[in-house]
Amino acid sequence: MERQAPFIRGDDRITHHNRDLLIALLPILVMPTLFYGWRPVLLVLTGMLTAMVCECVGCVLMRRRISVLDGYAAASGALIGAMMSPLAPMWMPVVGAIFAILVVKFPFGGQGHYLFSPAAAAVALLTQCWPHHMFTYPVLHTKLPLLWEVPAESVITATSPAGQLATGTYSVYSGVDLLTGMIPGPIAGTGLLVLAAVALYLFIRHSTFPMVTGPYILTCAVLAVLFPRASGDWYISIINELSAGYLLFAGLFLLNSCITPRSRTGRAVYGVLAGCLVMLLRHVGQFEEGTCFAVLLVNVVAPRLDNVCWRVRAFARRLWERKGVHAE
Amino acid sequence: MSLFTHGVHLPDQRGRIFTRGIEVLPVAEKLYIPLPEKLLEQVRPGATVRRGQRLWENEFRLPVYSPVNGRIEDVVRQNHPLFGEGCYIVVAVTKPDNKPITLPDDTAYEHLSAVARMAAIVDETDGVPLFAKLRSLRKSGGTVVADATTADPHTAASLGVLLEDPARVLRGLELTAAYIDAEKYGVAVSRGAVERSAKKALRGHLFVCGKKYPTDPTAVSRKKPVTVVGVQAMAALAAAMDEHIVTDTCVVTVSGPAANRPRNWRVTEGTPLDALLTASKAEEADFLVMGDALTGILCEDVQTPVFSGVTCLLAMEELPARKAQPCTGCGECIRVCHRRLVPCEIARLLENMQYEQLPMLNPQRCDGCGACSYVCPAAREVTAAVLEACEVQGTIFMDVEGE
Amino acid sequence: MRTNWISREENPFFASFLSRNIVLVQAVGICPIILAGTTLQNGVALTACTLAVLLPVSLIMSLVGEKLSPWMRPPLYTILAMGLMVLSAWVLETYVSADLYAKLYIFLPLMAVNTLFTYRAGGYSVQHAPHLALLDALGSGLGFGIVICAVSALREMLAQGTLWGKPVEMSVHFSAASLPAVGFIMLAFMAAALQWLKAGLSRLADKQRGQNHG
Repeated sequence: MERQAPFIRGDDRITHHNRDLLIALLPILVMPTLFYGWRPVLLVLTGMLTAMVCECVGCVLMRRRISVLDGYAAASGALIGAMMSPLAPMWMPVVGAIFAILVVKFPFGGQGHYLFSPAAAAVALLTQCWPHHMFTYPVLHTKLPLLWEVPAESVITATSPAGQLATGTYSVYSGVDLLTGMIPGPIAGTGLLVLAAVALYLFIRHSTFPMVTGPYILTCAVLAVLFPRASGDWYISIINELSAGYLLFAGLFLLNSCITPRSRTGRAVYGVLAGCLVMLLRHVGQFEEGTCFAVLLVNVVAPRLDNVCWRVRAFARRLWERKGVHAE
Repeated sequence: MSLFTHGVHLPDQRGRIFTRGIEVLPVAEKLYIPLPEKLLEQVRPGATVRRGQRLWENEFRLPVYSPVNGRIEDVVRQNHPLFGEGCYIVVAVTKPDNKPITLPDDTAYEHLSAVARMAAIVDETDGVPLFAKLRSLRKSGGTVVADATTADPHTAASLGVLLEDPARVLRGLELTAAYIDAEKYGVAVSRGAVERSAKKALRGHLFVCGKKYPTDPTAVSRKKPVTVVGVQAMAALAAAMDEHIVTDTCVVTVSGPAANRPRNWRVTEGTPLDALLTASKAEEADFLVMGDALTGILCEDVQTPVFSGVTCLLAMEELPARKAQPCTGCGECIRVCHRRLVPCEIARLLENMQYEQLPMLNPQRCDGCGACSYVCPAAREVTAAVLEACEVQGTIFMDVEGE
Repeated sequence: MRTNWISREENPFFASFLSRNIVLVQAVGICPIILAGTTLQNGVALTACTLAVLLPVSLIMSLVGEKLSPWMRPPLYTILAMGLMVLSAWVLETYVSADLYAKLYIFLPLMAVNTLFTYRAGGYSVQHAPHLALLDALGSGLGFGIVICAVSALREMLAQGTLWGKPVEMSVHFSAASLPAVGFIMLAFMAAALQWLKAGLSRLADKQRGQNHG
């Protein structure tokens, strides 16, 4: 076929995008490293490396060009590692990454074709299988051993704000603690301020979609005010809900994977739906943190949302044109 | 950073083309002159032509003047990437002559459009003869805008002409505005493209567009309708009206990675590309793109002649090659599309052959600006797909009507 | 011709059992596998009940089906299947294991209206001779059985660390394996493996045929 215009191309934005995601994870990892030593970083790295190895294996099995370097696998694996508890054994991100890449990603057709966010699916599986590993958090400033599994009795565990909310009380931590992330919780789920800074970076780099994350967080906040899980001022409810678990982290990283609607309206609706589901799962769910399940559920409707939006737009345009004709 | 506006920032690759001004390319040894199909039998090789001789009228009823003194060597049929297949006579230059061609004075020029027609001015922005444009817009009012926006990374021709003689372009605009009763007239330039001295010369008639590609010169004024004309056409109109001179040259930017002397060249119409390439030290180029980098057409024959309407020539050593990957659903193409289309979905429907859903997405609104292909992180040929969808949809409609 | 057995249409047993496996290729009878196929005992019990119902119903339908008008067939085989299912459930409860029956409580009556019966007894058997219908019913039942046994054994081992109720040496327990989603994933992988096997075999057959002709 004859080559057609344009004859200049933008940068290789896929690689840039994934590099941005990985860069954005770095500041998130700083606080956990200060609190617990190098173990959280090692968990993230384990997930990342396993995912990359699995990506190679998958590409070989499917007889494709090996595309590890575009960074999708690395980003997915790192996200899985980042959603673990700092106490999680090392094999957890490994199992998660294998499931994400070899069961969720490749059988559905690999890059660009899969139906569910691999990282969210992996975390959902891990939550379902080993909830005690996922939701047992050490108290702050516990120096954790680097490699081997932590014996449960040697560590003083603490309930995270999400766990406390699930029992119907606001967390014992102050608002400042919640904002700065001085709370027990999953590796990447702590620190509203850090996450806000990361969000700003990602928005400026066009690596996440404000039209998804914005409505998502807004919906969560509104629902937190309307249906508080404990009695107290409205802003306490908002700050508690938003800082619990990895709600914000999911809004930034999980919801912005390849499976989002592409139209702006569709994205906004997608964000609102995700927010509603997250809050619903918090109220009726079995686990203290069900964001990954909410993400999986909205992934299902993502392709249809676009279609509905465009249909509505085409219909409106036709109506408008017809009106124009009548006016003439 | 912009979240909600359309268009895309392109890297400026013009360098110092503007500051060097416009260089005049010496007349080449051979020139191509378009020949109407019906005269094909009547022209004999060996006949001589005189500079300024009115040879015939082309299919737009524009007179064709011979730009040189010379002898007809050959009659060829060629496929021009921009103007399609056509016949040309090849004239070997015998005696150089620099005297300007003057308009035949036996005609009474009561109308501007008559002058525009006799001076054979073609609007370079859309390739329409200026006189036809003027006639169709008679008494329409609104705003006249000369398009000198430079959002595309290489083209510098229109801005070069403007900076060379702003007064002449303004004079042409003034004449046009008076002819079509426009309330406002002016030149549209990209932000930061012209310096203070030029701004002074254009005072009151300068519209500033954004820096993003594609720019929309029709959005600069609220006085509708906004008519967009070419800068070169305006300069030629002023020359024809005031000095009775027929402009037989056009300004072409030669640029691109393989051009070692990127310049704005003033070339005689009908000059084959190889003369331009030699002058720009771009003989090594393996790929020639006629037109700008985003909408241009690959040109394989270096004997292709240059006419008014060609504003840019890119010499490239290699075409950008990145393997297309599956759509990542990032929505960048939707963000940049200034016609508010959904390129990725159109491409997907086309791939899945769901043609019946295409009308919903209105692909015929596409103007092929190429911004979506430029931004696509997966390097997909989105623009090509949308343009193909326009064609497919056209045939579907025809089928339906046929039934 | 021996290499070509996999594509041979005339043998209904092999068709339904392997090459066009009733579950993995024709996607019939998935529901009980996903929901009830969580332990090997469940799987075997369901297979036995299916066979016990499908064989007589197919035989009867192939004998009398042609003589009935089409609208009378569905009520007939449904009622027959229900009756036989009640019988086999009673046998299961009283003679085999009341405990197992309690576990399968809701799934057994549901089996009677399974697409498996609609599809084989109501479709294939009516148009074919009794011996073919019996072969097909056997193939379908065993094809369903082999898949449900494989899936349920795997899920039992992964989720509970046991096989047929006996503990198996496993270091990790994978409690999500008894979820329906994992059942779907397993079925999908098995279907893919079967297609891969078939593609490989037919390629092999083509090569051999080419050698014979060449």
